[in-house]
Amino acid sequence: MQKLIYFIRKTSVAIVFIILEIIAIRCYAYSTPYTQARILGWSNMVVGYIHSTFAGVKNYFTLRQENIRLTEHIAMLENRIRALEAVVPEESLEVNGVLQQYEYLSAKVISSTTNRSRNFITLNKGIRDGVSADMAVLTPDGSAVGVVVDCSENFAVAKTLLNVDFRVGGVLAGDGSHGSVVWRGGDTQIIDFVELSKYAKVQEGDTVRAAGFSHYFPREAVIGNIEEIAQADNGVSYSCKVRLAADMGRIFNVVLVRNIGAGEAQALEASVKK
Amino acid sequence: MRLKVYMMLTLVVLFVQVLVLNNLSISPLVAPTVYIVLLLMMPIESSQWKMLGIGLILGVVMDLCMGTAGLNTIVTLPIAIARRPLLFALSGMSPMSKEEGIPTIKRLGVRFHRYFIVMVVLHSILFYCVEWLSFDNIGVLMLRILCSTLCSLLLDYIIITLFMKRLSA
Repeated sequence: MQKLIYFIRKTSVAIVFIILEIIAIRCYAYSTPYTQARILGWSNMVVGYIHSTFAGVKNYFTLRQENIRLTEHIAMLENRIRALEAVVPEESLEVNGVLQQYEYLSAKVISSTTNRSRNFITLNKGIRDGVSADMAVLTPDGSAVGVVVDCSENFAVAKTLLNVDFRVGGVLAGDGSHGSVVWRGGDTQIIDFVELSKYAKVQEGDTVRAAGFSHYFPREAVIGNIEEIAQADNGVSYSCKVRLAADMGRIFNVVLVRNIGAGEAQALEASVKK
Repeated sequence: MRLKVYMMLTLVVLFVQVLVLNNLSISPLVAPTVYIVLLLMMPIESSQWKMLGIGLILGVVMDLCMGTAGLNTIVTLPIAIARRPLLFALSGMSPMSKEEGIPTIKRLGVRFHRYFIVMVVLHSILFYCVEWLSFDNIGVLMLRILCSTLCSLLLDYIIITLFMKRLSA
């Protein structure tokens, strides 16, 4: 205890200096949009490099599990390709640039939060690697994680489904009924699937997928499985609890998906609304 | 007596910085700062706490007067903290010596100029780097630092010469 008091007394000037400096930098950073952009850009870069160092060590210990998951996923995709080849003529399976709707990129998670009302993950790829805002973030096995909101040269930040400001269209697999997926805080494994028509044939265990019209996620992206079904207060829709397919606290590798036609579709929608 | 001289020095520095230099537009490359003399002329025996307090007040007052939210405080705080070790390192005085009074040319000789130039140059480099926040146009930044530092050195030296005798009395 005495040693602690001695240490605090010895370093008190330095501690107060650092606190005052941080306050001053914060005031300066938020004084103009220019300083905000520059200082936050630098801080993102520094924090990103620190996180990536620690994430590298953490990833090393999960390599075995990740390898097993990826191998299983490759096997599943192989099976799907073989099944498709059996029913579709081979020449029509050739990649057609015009028909290709999505572009994929892999990235590593270098930091993530799950204990806030607005949770984000930081990825080790940025503008230099071809990442841009609005790209969907999926786990390697295709579960929805979030959407990229900002990028620097080497890093990208994505808001996850565990963000109270984030609402995405969901569709009940099989039935095809639409609703909205939204997180209201609290349990990080459970998310709400609301505004689902009361005529939908929904059962516990049903899969909720991303609705393709959201422009972010591909239609196949799995959000989770229905765990609890309840009538909404308005009496005309269901409000379901969905267990997330992605374990947000244990994501190390992700796949970034760019919807190539999203920009064109959004521009067209905007012109129609005018 | 010394407190009165310090108050007078503060008023002069504020007047010159806020009413004259901030409204003077000689060139975009020349933007001298003179308030650093208040930190330079603090007594040798001033503790780190005292220097930190003076640095904070000076930074906040200059930020309020110049409309720069935090810029001056960011710069004056490290200068205030670095002043004591730099003074001892550049003047050749021992930190253990119980010397008191103002760092003057009479007391330190040529070493005073060394201390004075290093402090002003350090302040200018920090100030303009934090102000620009970009090294994209490093040539212009360097030129601005050079021109402003030379101008600051001249003005600071004039102010120090005017007050040095009164402060050391």
